[in-house]
Amino acid sequence: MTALNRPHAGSSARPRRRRTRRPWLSALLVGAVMLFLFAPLIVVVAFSFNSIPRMSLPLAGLSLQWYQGLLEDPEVRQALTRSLIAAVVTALIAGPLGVLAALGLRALSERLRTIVLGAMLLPIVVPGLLLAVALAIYWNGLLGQRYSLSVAIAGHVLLALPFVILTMNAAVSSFRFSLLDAARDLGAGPWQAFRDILFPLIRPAVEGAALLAAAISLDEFIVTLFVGGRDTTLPVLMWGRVQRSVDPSLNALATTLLAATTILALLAARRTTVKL
Amino acid sequence: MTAEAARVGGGARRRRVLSGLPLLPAVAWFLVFFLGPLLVLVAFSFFTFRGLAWVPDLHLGNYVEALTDAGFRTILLRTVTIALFVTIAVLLIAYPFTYIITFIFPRRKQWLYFLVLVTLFGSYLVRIYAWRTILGAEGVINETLLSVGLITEPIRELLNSPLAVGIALTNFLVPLAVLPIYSAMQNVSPGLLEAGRDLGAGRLHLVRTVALPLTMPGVRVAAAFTFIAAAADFATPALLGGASGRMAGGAIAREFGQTLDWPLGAALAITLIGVLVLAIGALWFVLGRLAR
Repeated sequence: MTALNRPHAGSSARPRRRRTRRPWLSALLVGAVMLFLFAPLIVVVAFSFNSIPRMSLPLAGLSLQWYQGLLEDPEVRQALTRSLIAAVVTALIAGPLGVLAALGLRALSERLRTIVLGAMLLPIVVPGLLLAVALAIYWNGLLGQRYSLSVAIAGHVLLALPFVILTMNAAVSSFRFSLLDAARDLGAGPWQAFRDILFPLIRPAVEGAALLAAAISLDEFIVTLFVGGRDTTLPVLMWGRVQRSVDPSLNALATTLLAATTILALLAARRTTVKL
Repeated sequence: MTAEAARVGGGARRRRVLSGLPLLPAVAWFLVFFLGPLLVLVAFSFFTFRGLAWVPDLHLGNYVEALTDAGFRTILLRTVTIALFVTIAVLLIAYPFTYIITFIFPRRKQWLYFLVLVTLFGSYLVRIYAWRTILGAEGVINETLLSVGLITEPIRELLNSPLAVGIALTNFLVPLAVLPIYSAMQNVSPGLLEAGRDLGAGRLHLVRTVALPLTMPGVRVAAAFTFIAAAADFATPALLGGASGRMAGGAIAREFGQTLDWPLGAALAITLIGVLVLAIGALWFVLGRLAR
């Protein structure tokens, strides 16, 4: 059994491997799947720079006119502002809540921690539409609140929290808590130990988790649609316009949204080690 | 000091620097903005909608209407069918893909996996919109075929059909299914497959008898994720499905947007959840059979 578990045992002794018999077929399959996954994104990005409104291949020429149109559109600018506010506020709330929760989880026994963590991941599994209609009833039907951006942000925080907690839980689990013990033994108060020892060491993960929360908020559509009221964010604005027509300026809007969420997610990935 | 005494001492000390108290804000957020709303949703499904208001007279009328209304039954059946086809398509793409990058291109697997994760963050709405620009009457496929001269009239059946919904959902959900399958597959020792090959087993036979049973927990999670996400989706059928591709999500949203019959909408939502739970139970059973 030990020989079986060593993947490359004897590979130098036997250079002829059957596994490389038809790698081109495998490569073709991987390439086809990648093409299928990226095709819609490539189309949107490519046509956002097209110089004519017709969506025909090959592209006619390069132009930034659709982006210029976006910049001059007051509705888009308002929606962009709201989206940015929501993203920043979501990160500022979900970040600290998630960091605290991950620290609190460490104090629980192994079994209890698994249960609490599992419960906190539930918002990922519950369909967005169900949460959206539940929040709509809750805020207006039960609490009598008007729908607004703030109400939507409460939902964004809820949707971002599981990811922040996952990220922070991974970061905190590799932290040596004996360092905190040492700091306390040397006379540091709890706050000082947190500020000078724990926080600097988990800081990249905290930044990454906050960026991830911002990306989730920026991309969030369905809760905002149901409880955002007239406070349209970029995805909700796009939703409204897409239903009307295929308009080339939508490609520019979609590309902007895509670039923003992807960059945030990539920045987050560089700071964290969590394997989702 | 014995080792055990040292461990106990360490535990006691750990309790000094750590407490469960920091959990409270997050737990409160979950109770107020997650559990609370879901319970209210359940309660509302037993209310009555009368004269633009909701009367809290607990009864089962909404559920009777949800289950007996022919229109909703058709939509529910179509939802389950589309979600089932999408789940099968997603697994048929995600499993071989993950298997190939793990065992045939092990040196590039992390990079390829990362690329798949990138598309997971490629905005949901943007992707649906993209399929509209690809499949539409004035979309990429039709415009290109027209300009080449292969067709004289745009093919309108591409968009506004269950097929368009299925393609877009499959496209969107493959990365989500790759996640659990990938992490399950990292526990399969390549040496095990190597040994099987040396003993003369074919690649497909090895997948069925070795890889699939070992990765089944990941496959089941992937199937459940995909099925839930596909069946409860609301934006994809609305933008790509047309009249023939209406799904349950749209019917639920309608009660909230246009007719304002929230109690019926809530009952429809909970009925959908019940159907999802049953369907996923069946799916897990069938998948378990497959791995034996």
